[in-house]
Parts: sequence; structure tokens; C-alpha cells
Amino acid sequence: MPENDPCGKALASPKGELDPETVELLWQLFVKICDRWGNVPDSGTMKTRFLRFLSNRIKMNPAYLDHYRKAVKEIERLKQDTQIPDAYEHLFTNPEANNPPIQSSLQIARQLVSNEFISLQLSLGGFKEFTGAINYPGYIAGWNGDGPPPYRIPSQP
Amino acid sequence: MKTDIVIVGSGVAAAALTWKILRGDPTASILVLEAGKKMKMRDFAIFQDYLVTGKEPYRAYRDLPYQERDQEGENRNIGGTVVPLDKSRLTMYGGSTVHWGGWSFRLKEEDFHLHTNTGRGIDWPFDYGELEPYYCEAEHYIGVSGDSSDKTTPRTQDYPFRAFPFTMEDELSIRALEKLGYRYSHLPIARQGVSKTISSHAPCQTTGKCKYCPFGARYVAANSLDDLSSLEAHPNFSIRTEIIVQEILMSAKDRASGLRCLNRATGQEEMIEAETIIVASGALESPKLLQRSKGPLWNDGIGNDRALVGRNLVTHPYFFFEATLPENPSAMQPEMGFPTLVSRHFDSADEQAAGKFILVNPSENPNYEGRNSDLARLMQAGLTTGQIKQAVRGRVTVQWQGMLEVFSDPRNQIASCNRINRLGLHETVVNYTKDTGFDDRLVQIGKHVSKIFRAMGGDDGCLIQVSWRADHAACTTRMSKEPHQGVVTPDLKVHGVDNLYVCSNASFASFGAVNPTLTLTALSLRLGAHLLKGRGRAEAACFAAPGDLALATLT
Repeated sequence: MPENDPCGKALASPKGELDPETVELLWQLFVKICDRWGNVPDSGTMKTRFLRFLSNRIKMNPAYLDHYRKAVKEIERLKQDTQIPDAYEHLFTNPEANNPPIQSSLQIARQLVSNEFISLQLSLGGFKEFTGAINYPGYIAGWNGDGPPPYRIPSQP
Repeated sequence: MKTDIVIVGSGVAAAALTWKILRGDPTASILVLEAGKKMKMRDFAIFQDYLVTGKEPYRAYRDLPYQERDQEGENRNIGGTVVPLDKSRLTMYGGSTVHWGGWSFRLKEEDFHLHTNTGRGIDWPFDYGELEPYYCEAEHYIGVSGDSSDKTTPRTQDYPFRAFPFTMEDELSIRALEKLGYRYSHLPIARQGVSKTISSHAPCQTTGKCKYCPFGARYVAANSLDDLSSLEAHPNFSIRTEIIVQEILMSAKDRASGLRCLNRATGQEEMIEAETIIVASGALESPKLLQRSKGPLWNDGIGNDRALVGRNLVTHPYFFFEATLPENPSAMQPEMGFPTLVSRHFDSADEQAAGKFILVNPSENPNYEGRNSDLARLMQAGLTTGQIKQAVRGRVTVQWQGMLEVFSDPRNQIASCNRINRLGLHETVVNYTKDTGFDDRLVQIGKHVSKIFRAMGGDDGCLIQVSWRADHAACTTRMSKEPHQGVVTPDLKVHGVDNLYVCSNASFASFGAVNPTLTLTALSLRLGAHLLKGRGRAEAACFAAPGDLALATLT
């Protein structure tokens, strides 16, 4: 999908499609993840793959249209709540949001949206900052050809 | 419906056998019957779903766990040891290769002489040298990356692809093994490498999420059968799914005439006539089909006049030992989806009588802050970057995993049950009780593993789990020269029947301490050569792989 077409038909399913505003708010959530953990130097380079991910999730399971809409609404609610100093920090750290079963909008926003974005972000390269590794489960590092292998090897082989 | 060769099952045995026959006889009439459904392979949306949920996309095609007091289940376990069937196999197009890990070991020379060497079980009716050319062919067929200089087993051909180098996470283990004088080697793994030919299968991209490969780089029989169907001209080859074989029909005591099947999609019964019938349905379904095929010619099921069908069940107990390392200064982190280091030090003739075993440094090593903690979970739990960096360099747990050889006992057996499971199969009754010496053997193994953990700088560690899962179930229609010892001949033909074969782990005489798939692939290619010979076609060893395309095909 072209990067300048973030809300194209690929973000649609027979049950509907995501409006551009929702897509943009989801992207903001992804950028906030990158900002909070500081593990991606330039999150903008991941936008095309992020949008493809949204498209794939909806294609696999149209219920994600609802999950994404609910998550965005929930984040907006948290932003409006004067008792919560930082909506995103609340979403990322509130332990109740991470508890099963998934029932509330907050749990949907955390477990089915934010947590999945974290897994995606790590698999797109976010892992490197934490360990210095060059490969990670989910990361497409390349093949075992004639050059150096696409993962760390012993210092004294 | 009429066909020349019918194969029951669509796993690696069916795929390799079909490939071999069609290489020698492209117009052969072959029909493959699969009880399960077909699932989309090599799909990036499915891969991403697996990536973020951790749920394997084919889990609907597994058996359910055994019934418990307040939980519906499938199959019955009536022995002293629980052998779980759930997660151990898949009833679907491509069979259990859809979820297998790809570990591709050869048996060792002494494995073929188990009874002679130890008095346990039976010998194979031929030796390693007979199977060696087919091992070479099998390694090319399923695309194994391995170390051709490894002397663990003799070889006459190199692996098709170079071994994956050891990982940084292997380093501690290597130092420990060397300190203790334990031999180790690269783990041969069915992952496509960079091919010299044009291939429909991309080389392994080391995604680390190998249980569903979006590139088809891990061998899966479904992809190979698709290649045979779509890329090459085989006018008389076809595959049908959702066809459940109920019974093998006989025209005489020594001659099978066809199959009675249930078409699950239509609910209709179908008869399929065939000149040659090959049962390739794994070590559980293959004997069950023979047992169910009762009639005036074979009162207790085909090939079962000596009540051997379904007996001598063995599987590999898979063990997990775990220890704690006080720190992880180099920030080791799992980078791969498969292990690269194995020790077959104890998979030796010296250990054979007590039960050989292998040790594997699992690709999940290490785990941060205890079991099941990886970077994603640490972030998802809300830890800060500083806390995560501290966690990955702090205390970690590491494991050694492995498999132990167990021996055939005729009291250990499987049988068919009248109840039908949700996938349409007759449920299975498993009656297995571990050997009385097993627990002592595990204690001995634990002592070796503790030494390794200590040499790695960890504590003694402990056994955390033994799984008797039936992934490697075998020997239930074992091969033998004489019918009083086994169910099939050295050519995998059912004793006493001229045109019925069992091509499965079920036909292994025994199978040492290593994964069975490469050996099954070699046996399947050998059976293909045998059938070609019977059809007056010369056998030619082929060191290509499914999906390798001749330039002529593309132009």
C-alpha cells in the first residue's frame, strides 16, 4: 500500500472500513509506543508496514474494525479524564488493563491493540535498542548466505 | 472411482513418495486422500496474526485434550502413563509437517541393530548402508541445512545447504560442553538455503517464527504437493481433501481391491478402486485403519492374524531441564526460531542399552526474570526502557531440552474407538505405560545436565517437565523379515498382502533418540524406488527439491 494512502481500501473489510481519523489516531498510538520506550530512531520509516499490519488484522478478522474504533475512543476518553495525567502512560501501565478476560474498552485498547502494536514494533526492529541483537523472533533478518549470518555469533568461534 | 495408486494421508510420506514416483513416471495415476481440510500457506496476514497473538493458525486441526471431569475431550488414555495426543499431530492437508520443527537427524548405524546390541526390541531388517543413499536424497528433498563435515553419521553426499552457524546464545553451552569433553554439532534443520536452481521456495529469512513460515522455507508437505499439482505436468495425479477412509476392501486374502470412504463434504460414501494401496497416515491412524478393516478374510483386521497391529507403540519422552544464571552481561536474547546446537554425545552405542538421548540448546534461551518472559512481555507489562535493560542483563533462566530413546513393549498399544471426533476420525485409545527403569534413567541424565549447567556458571538446575506427547509415535506396524515379529516387510508391504503398504513412522522397527521425519522421508523415497522398479521404471536418485524449477519450465 502506498504510504500516502493511509486510509485506502486496504483498510476495509466487507463489514466496513476505518476512517482516516481513526487510522491517524492508531498511528499516533504506535508513535507513542516508539517515543515511550525510545527504541526506534525514526518511527516514520515504519508507517507503511504499520498500515499493512492494520490491513492484515482486519482482513484476518473483521472484528478488528470494532476493536480499533473502540481503542481510539477509549484513548480519547482517557485524554479527557482530568484524574489521569497522561492517557498513554495510563494505557501502557495500568495493570488491570492487562488482565484477562478482555471485556472493557480499556482492556481492548491495551491487549488487542497496544500490546499487538508493541509486538509489531519489536519485530520491525525495536528489539535492537534493548539487547544489541541483530535478529529477533518475528524480525525478517535475511538468509544464511555466504556473508555473515543474520544473527549474533560467538565471539570466539 | 478407479486409480492405479492410492495414498491415504498427505503428510511427508505421501508427498515424498508421490514426488519420487512422478519423477520416474510422470504419467502415473496417483490419488492422494486427506481426511482434513486445506489451509492457506505462505500468507503474510496469517503470519502476522501468529506473530502478535502467539496462536498457531492451524490449532483447529489438532486433537482435543483427553476428557476430564468437567471438560469435554477426545480420545482415551487407559495406560499408566499419559501420552497426550493434543498438539502432537495435525489432521489437515500436509499433515503434521505443517507444524513440525524441521529437525532432520539420521539414525546412527547402531540403531539398526538394537536387538543384536542390547537384547531389546528388534533389529531393522536392513542396515544403515541400505538407507544411506535415500537419506542423501531425503536431505535434498526436504531442503536440509547442515554441516557436511560432521562425522556423527557417515554420508556420501553433502547437505544441499550449509549449516546455520552457532548463535551467540550457543557460546556458553559450547564452552561448557568442551570443558566436560562432550561432543556437539550443528543441528541439521529443514530450512531452504540459497539454491543454485530457481526455486518456488525462498531461502529461510530467519524470521524466528518458524511454526508458520510466510516464505515456505521450512519444508511443509502441503507446499510440495501444491508444487507437484501446479508447477509440473502430471496429468494423472490428484489430491482430494475431506475424504475419510473407513475401511480397506479385499478381493482375496492376499489382495486389496480398494477403499470405502466417507466424503465429509457431501456426507456420501464412496468406493475407490486401486491397484496399489499405500497407507501413510501416521503411527496412530495407519494401524487403526488396518484394525478396522475386518472381514471374513482377515477376522481381526488386515495383517493382524498375530495381533501385532497397533502394538509396540513407542514415542519420545521430551525432557526440559532448567537452571538460573546469575547474570547475562552480554544481553543474550533469543534470535532464532530453531536451535542450532545439538549434542549427540549420549546418542552412542555405549548408551544404547540404557536408552540413548540427545541434548539440544533450545532457541528460546535465555528467559528474562523467569520463565516465559521475553522483550514483548516486558514492554507489555509496562516496564520502562531502563527496567528492561536491567532485566535482560540480570538473572536469567536457561534450559537444556532433549529426547530419550524408549523401547518397544507389545503391551503398549493403540486401538480404534467407535466414537468419531470433530474432525471426522475414529477416536484413539492409547494404552501406554513407561518402563520401570525410566525414572532412574532420567535421574542419570539429570546428573549430566547439572554438570553442564554448572560449567555454564549456573546452579544445578532441575527437571521441570517430561512430555510424553505422541509427536514421534512409532513402531505400531513395525517392519520385520518374519511375520511373527512385525506387520510389514522390509519393503513396507503388509505381510501376506501383495499390494498393500504402510509408509509411516508406524513401520519403523525402532528409532533411537532422534526425530523420525528424515528417516520416514528416506523410507518413503525407498518405497517409491521399489514401486518404480515394480512398474518397470528405472530408479534414478534425484538431488533436486520440490519447487526447483527447470529453466525450460519458465520459458
